[in-house]
This record gives sequence, structure tokens and C-alpha cells, in this order.
Amino acid sequence: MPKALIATWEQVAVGVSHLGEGPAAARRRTLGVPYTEAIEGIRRALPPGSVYVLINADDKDEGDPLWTRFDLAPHPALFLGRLSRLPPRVRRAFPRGQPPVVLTFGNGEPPRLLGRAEFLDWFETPGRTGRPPVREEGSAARPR
Amino acid sequence: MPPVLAEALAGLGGVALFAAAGGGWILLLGLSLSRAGRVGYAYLLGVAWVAGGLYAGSHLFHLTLNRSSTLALVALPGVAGLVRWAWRRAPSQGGGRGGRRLPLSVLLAVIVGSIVSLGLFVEALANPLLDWDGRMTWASQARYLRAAGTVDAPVLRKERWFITHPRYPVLLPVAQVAVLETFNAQEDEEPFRPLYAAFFPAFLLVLGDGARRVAGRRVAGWVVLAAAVAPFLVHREGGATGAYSDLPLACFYGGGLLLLLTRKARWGEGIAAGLLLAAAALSKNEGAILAGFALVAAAWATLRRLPRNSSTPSAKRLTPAALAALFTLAALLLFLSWRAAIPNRHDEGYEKLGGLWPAVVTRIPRLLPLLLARFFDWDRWTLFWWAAPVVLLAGRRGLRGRIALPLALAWGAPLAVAWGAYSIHWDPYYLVQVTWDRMLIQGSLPFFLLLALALRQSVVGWRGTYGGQTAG
Repeated sequence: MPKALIATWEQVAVGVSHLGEGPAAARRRTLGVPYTEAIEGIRRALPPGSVYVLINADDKDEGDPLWTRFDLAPHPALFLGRLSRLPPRVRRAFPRGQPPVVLTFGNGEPPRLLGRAEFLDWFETPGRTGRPPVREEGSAARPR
Repeated sequence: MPPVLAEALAGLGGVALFAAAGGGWILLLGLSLSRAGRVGYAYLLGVAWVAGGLYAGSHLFHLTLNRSSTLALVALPGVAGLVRWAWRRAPSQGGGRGGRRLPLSVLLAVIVGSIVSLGLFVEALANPLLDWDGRMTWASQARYLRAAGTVDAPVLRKERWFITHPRYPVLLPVAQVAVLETFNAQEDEEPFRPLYAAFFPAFLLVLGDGARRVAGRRVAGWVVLAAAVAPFLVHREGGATGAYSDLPLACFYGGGLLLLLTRKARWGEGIAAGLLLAAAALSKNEGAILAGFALVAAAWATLRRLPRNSSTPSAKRLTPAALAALFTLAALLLFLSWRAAIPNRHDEGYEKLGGLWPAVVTRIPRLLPLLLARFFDWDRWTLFWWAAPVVLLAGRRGLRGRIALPLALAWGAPLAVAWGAYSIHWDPYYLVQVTWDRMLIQGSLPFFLLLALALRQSVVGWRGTYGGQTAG
């Protein structure tokens, strides 16, 4: 049996049972509940037309900043690169206003939204921990 | 309306809109195509016209990317084509063979091609987009363009914003916007996914039409069947399952070339090929180069077939290619004008042509094994690249006709472009891994035509001419 037909059979067998499923349910099924809910929370927190700062908190991951940016489009993103390589005075790289920060982690960990001040306070703390603060109420906190 | 119906309506409605616009162009230009060819070309011409029209209209005349603009562009050729069809009393062209029994190969190709296409449409309607480049580049760009209502979105033009490949041409993202706007898609609804899936049956139909002309129906059936079961065209990066632009580019590039290679190509074929090659130039960076190769290959084939004592001047024979060249040039100018305002960032720098030498030679020993490994990767191509050389070798006498060498040139063009890129890229080994198979897709229509020529000779022993009478 040709591989293309086997793959087609799998597509049809899996796909037919999900036809008519809403986009949110389909995203939870394929992208995972934590990621999907994190994105939905960040979307709710970002006012229409607002911008955000995107930072990759995983040194080995390449994809998550891209997927997060896609899911948060059309909000424009200012990408500062990897967290481990940010300059000590990263504050200067931030745009004017109070743009929130979206951190991506890779390895299936959902992206996290932090307020600008919250992120900078943590980042500029001498002897800070390697991980940014986690809020108990969830990963999609409203920026300060 | 049940959600499943609404979803299917939006997804397949987008495909139908493009096909309607392209069908209008076929009627308007009086193209001589088989029934299958008409359907395949209608879809390709529709995407080329509607998305290309929105691209040009938005950049040059500030046309808003929305439902009204899309429907107007669909209606224009659709209505004009119908008027011409009614006026000319629907001449029957090339498709009047319905009474003949289908050869087994055609029957198998139709069945397998339909099953694989069905799987693609089910997948596209059931799942969100999950591929790499589709989300990184093409669908992201579509979201920014849709929000801005223009191809000159501020997010592309301001250097500070994070856009991957910001200077890539955006024909396919514009096509996505056309579908999203026409069906008023909400956040996370992706009715554009069937738009990409539809390029696969369009590819098979255009291939079937071309192969039938050069080798007859029986051989065309086998070649289409081979294309339908090649996993990479469907299920891997650049194939029809995702939202990469490689399969669309393959269709525009190969489809335009095949129209120009038609033996009795007239101005109608020239305009249609021009639309397709213009779309190729607006689909990917390398599209303009490939369109140039297609024009050279077509002109070469045209001049090769002229007998020494031909009464038809070369210039007249070259009119279709010249018309196509005008469209391609216009698209290239549009692209350069659009791109001029976009600063480069988050992209490779391929402009350093000075670095080509000597790397274009010195990298051969290390890159060649990698390339060969890709050809014979079972997951991606199964037996295809084992069998294809055997078929070409066995039918080598069939490759002596006027179009074989131009087809070979057209097949090699994307591979040459890739080799050039590998020669100047800082990490060619990585680039090979992520692009070589996609370059093979881009040149696949001319390659399958070469296979048809060889197969005709080795299996059927039929001798025909492109655009002449069909056999099989």
C-alpha cells in the first residue's frame, strides 16, 4: 500500500470525527490545553492594536516565539531575542509606553505574559533566579 | 446552519470563488484544454488573477483588501467569460471524448487522486494549521495584511517589528486574506486551508492535461498516478497539507510553462501563461527567476520546432512567450516597488552573489552526499527517485523531441537556484535539509512531463507532438 494512501487513510479516519468542531476545541486538541488557554488569556489582556515585547526564555527552542507571534498576530511584536543573552540594561531596548512582555519557553510550556515593570523588576534584581516569576492565578496575567 | 456545513462552505467556497474567476479567464481567452485541464487551470488562473489583482490594486491604487474588492475581481472575468461563451455559443474544445472508455491507468489515477485529495480537504477542514513555514511566514503575514487592509502593512515597513522574511512576496497571504474576508472568518477560523489543499488536485489535473498531450491518455494516467502517491507532494514540508508556497509555485511555474509549450499556442495561451508566471514571481523570491527560466525554455522549444523553410516568422511564433514575458515583467516591477519600502530583517542575505565563486564548486564534495540522501529518503519519496531514473533511461529515445530539453532546463532551474543559495549561505547543510525537497517540488511538473515522454517511448512506443492529437 503506498505511503500516501496510508497517510490519507489516517487523515480521513482522524479528521472526519472532528469535522464541525469549533476552532477553539480543535486548537485544544492539537496544540494542548495549557498552550491554547495561555494564548487566549494573553489575547484578552492585550488591548486591540497594542504591541508587546517578545522574549525567548529557552536557549534551545526556535519555534515557540514564532508560534506565539502567529497566534498573537496582528499585534506587532518587538523581539528581543533570547533571555539569556539580553543586555543588563535591556530597559533601553523597550519601546515607549508600557508594552507587556510575552515570554516563550519551549518544551510544551505555555507562553507567559508579564507586565513591563514586573519583568524589568525581576530582570534587574541582583542575584535573580533563572526563571521569571509565576503568578498563582495563571499564566495570562494582565500587564501592570 | 450546522457548524460542519458552515465550515465546509467557507473552506470550499473560497476554492470555488477562485475557480469561478479562472474559469471566466479560460472562456474569455478561448483556451483549448481537456475537461480536466480546464478545472485545474481555472483554479490556478483564479488564484493568480484574484490575489495578483488585489496585490497590485492594494499597492498601486490603495484598493482595500476586503470582500468587495475580492468579489469584484472574481466577477470581472467570470461575467466577461460567460458573455463571450454565450456569444460564441459555447464551442466544444478538446473535451469531447466523454464517450470513450477510460484506460485503466486513468481510472486508477482518478480514483487515487480523488482519495488523496479528499484526505487533504478533510485534514484542512478538521485541524488548525500546524506546519512550520505556514505559521512562521505565510499565515502570519496574512493576519497582518488583513488587519491593515493593505499589502503595505505598517508592521512590514517598520524595522522594529518582528517579521520573518518580511520581504518575501505575499501573493499567497493575499489569497488567504481574500478567503478570510469573503467569508468573514473570526479569530482562529482558517477557511484558507482548503485553498492550499486545492493546489494538489489542480497539480494533478494540469499534469494530466499536459501528459495527455505529449504521451496520450494511458501514459498520462500512469504519470498522474505516480504524482498522486508521491508522499512529498502531499504530506511533507512544502506539500499540500500545510501552507507553504512551494506547491503553489510549482503549479504556477509548471502550468505557465506547459501552456507556452502547447504546439499551437496563441495570444490566449500567452496571456494565461503570463498570469501564471506573474503569480510565480509574486509567490516566492525564487519565483521570478523560475518564471524567467520558463520563458527561456518556452522560447527555446518554439524556435526548435521551426523548420528551416518555415513561412511563419519566428517573431510571430514567439508572440505568446513575449506576452507572458510582459506579464512577468509587470509582476516583477510590482514586487520590487512593494519591497522597496520594506527593510530587511530576520531573513537570509542571498544578495551576496560575489560569494558564489569558488563555493559553488568547493562545496560539492560535502553537499552532494546530503542531496543524494534526500532523493532516496523513503519517508519523503519512497521509491520515486529510484524508479524515475530507470524510466528515463529506458525511454531515453523519447527524450529527443523538441520539448524534452526545455523541460529538462525547467526542471533543473529550481535546483540550480538552490545550489546557488547553498553556495553563499552560512549554513548550507542546514539549508539543504529544509529546502532541497521543496525545490524538487517546484520543478516537479516539468519533471513528470519528462517521465511521460520517456514512458511513452518505453512502454507505449507512441510518437506524438505536444499540443497535437491525443492518443491512448
